[in-house]
Amino acid sequence: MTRNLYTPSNIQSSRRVSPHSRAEIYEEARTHFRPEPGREWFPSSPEAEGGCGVTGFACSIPVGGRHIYEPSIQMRNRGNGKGGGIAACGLVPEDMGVSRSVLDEDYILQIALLDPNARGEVEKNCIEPFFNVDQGGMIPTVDDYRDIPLLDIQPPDVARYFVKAKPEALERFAEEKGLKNLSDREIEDEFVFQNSFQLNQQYYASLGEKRAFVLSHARNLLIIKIVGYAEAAVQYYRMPDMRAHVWIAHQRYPTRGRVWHPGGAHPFIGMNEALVHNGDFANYHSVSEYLAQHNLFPQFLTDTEVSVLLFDLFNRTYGYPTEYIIEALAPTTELDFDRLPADKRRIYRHIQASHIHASPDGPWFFIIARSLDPAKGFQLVGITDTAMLRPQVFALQEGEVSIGLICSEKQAIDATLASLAKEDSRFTPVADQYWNARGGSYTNGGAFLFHITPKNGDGTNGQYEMRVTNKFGESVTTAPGQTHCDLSSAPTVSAKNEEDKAKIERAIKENDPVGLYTYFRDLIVEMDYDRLRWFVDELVDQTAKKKPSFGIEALTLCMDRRYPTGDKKRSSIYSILRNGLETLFERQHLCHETGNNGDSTHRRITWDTRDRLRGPEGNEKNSSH
Amino acid sequence: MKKTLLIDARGFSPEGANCDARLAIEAYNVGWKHLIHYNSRGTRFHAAGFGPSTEGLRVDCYDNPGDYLGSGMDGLEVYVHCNAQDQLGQITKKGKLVVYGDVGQTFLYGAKGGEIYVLGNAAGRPMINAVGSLKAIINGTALDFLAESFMAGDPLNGGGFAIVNGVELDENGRVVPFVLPYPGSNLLSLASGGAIYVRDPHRTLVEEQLNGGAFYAFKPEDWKLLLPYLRENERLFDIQIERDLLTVDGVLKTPREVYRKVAPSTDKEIQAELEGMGD
Repeated sequence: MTRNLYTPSNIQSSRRVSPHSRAEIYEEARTHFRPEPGREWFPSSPEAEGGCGVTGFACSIPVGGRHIYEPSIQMRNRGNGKGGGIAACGLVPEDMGVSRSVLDEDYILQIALLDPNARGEVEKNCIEPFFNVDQGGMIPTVDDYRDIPLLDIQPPDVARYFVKAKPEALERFAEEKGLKNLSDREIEDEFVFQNSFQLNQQYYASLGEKRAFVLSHARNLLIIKIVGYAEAAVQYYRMPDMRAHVWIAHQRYPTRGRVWHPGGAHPFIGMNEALVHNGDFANYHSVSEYLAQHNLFPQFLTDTEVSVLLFDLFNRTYGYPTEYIIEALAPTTELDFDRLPADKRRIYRHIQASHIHASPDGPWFFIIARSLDPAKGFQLVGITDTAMLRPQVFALQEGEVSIGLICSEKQAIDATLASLAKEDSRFTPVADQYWNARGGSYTNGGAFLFHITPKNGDGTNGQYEMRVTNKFGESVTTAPGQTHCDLSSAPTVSAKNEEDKAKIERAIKENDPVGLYTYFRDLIVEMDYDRLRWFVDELVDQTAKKKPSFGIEALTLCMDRRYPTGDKKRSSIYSILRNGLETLFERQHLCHETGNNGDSTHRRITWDTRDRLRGPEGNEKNSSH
Repeated sequence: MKKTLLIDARGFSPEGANCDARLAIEAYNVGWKHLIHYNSRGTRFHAAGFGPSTEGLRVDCYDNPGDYLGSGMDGLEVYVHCNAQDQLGQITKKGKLVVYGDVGQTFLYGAKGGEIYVLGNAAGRPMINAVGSLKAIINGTALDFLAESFMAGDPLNGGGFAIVNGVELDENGRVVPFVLPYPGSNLLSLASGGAIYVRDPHRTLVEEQLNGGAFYAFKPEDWKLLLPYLRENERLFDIQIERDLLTVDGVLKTPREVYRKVAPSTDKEIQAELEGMGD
């Protein structure tokens, strides 16, 4: 484990500016954000949100947007159609129609045009004077928004520009704002950030009539959001086939406040990160005041916006490593604090003393997609509040391709994996590992990071790998030396095993499912996947009609219990057993069917036959299950 | 003796009138006593809503049962053959809930009774505001705030309790104890009744974790109380009492050496202080 210490060498500035000086430089550069004296700066009616659904995944290969709308659909009941959105990070140059260097070096400026006529004005005032545009235009949409299920309000047109700041504009900006001690990248980031703030002030925040706002402005990361469900955003903007390494999505369930504009939907952009949030701060006012002390002013009236502003503040203004950003957001408290190593306690005490009044208070869970330098790749981060007041599940699948997932509900994780497995046999419909984070703890810090990093150092060959760490940089891995099963190909006939067959027959005859499980458990290490699949198929064949209760009990025991699995992943074994169980279920007669059905202890009902439910009939034998 | 109805959840809504949990209630009402949900994708309220006195009903859940499973159950048995989600077993009154995996947030919120077995971990705030005669066996641990505001009387006289074994099954199926059986900073905080029995042979639990609780001597009658539940736990999960729970670092120990009892403090000074509050 590597414990990052707060030393100047890991501050993310190439010109080694002290944290104190950095904060002063940034605050000074943003003084013009401060409203004129006497003018109200604090939004009096922030919106609040309840049990929203959040989801995200990071993958070693880029995958299509269609895989983020499966979990979004699954959590539709966590939203109410009043706001949904997605962010994609780690994009593919061909899908975006640009070169690798443009994707790596340009900012992707995405602007929602609530008033389509605002485009020319926005370009003239906010883009052309300041940026060289390598590519620009409207992003494609479906012809008629009413073709998208549950989409009641037409989403805005979105203009996308791949831009670099004009050198002369950048130089002037650095000079005027006193930023010359920062690195070139830091200056350009701040230039883009301030330009977006001013665009929003001019075309969104300061107007009764809202005409345009910046959806996102990061490198290799973009955001789309609408009034509607998240999956509708993917569909409307024709993103099912657009690939990315990291996807996050949000189903919004606003509980109070104004919600009838897409600007309030998640994700929100910081600088190089997009954030979705489930929860509701109790201290929105004090967090906003804290931001105002640093000359940062929210424009969209939600606690999610201030969350990402805080993250960006700790990241860019203070130059904190991720561990310290997490500590500033979700402080380590009580006995957990006492159990930290002494050096951590010392540093964390300073962080808490500086930022505790900005720490979001109340229930919250963040999922963040981050675009780092090309050499560092991308990150998916999940952080829970110290009191762990919102649901959160993390999952990991490692193999030929690796994927890490974060969701409000485990079922949405499995929906993502099922969607991926249907398209690519390197994925398995069940994760290798599921877990929760312990908020503000000394054990895992209440946060996990999925790092997608280039294999060759700069990502130019498009090859990436994934690793997982907790807040402290400690690795999370699955059991080494195990492989998944390719479930897309049929097992070989040669896998037939007479010993297995005889054992199944004998166990059925003796009505001994526990004995059959014991046989399975003792043999599974030496079984290969083909033999296992044949074993399960044989068990299903022998029991589906004559003794389904035996088959169900034996397969269920094999799924419920834990045992050594040798070089096989438990997730693959579980999937094979579960598929066998489903086959067995599917071979049972439907509820309304009549006639001689053999051992009719079991009947089945489906969505299509739900209206034909009836009670069990006399000729259906009793089950021993 | 039961006949089984298999409910394929594909196509059903995750909640409301068109969800498979609602169909299960209709099936029970027309005579089915064993229901199996499969292909579930986050259905809420499985094994809930069957009404009072549902002894004899068994529900099995596969794949992805959702939040609120088993809420308000009164007599039925539920078996969850996977990880479960949040708010399981809320206000449970009676019955049996077995989870062959982890459970999510606010497990057993406000539960009043029932016999509960969890193979893995519980997330935050399990058993918060639970009362009565609830018996819960958690083989893993909880994130924090276990049994906050527990009001379950005296477990030795019919009250409620939880057993936290603080172990996990590793990739080889071996029972491996966690370094800390309970890592949270709050255990049984603000509780007025009930007890938590923690497998803690190395005495890692400390006073600071007990906000209003205290350690009590683990007596033979405590072990007598726990034993039948640990035997059922052994039958369900193959976590054996002697081999896995009472053996510590290869040495078989007595229950008293392995388990610790935490219950609300009855400190006379606190009592006196409370009594004097109205003065």
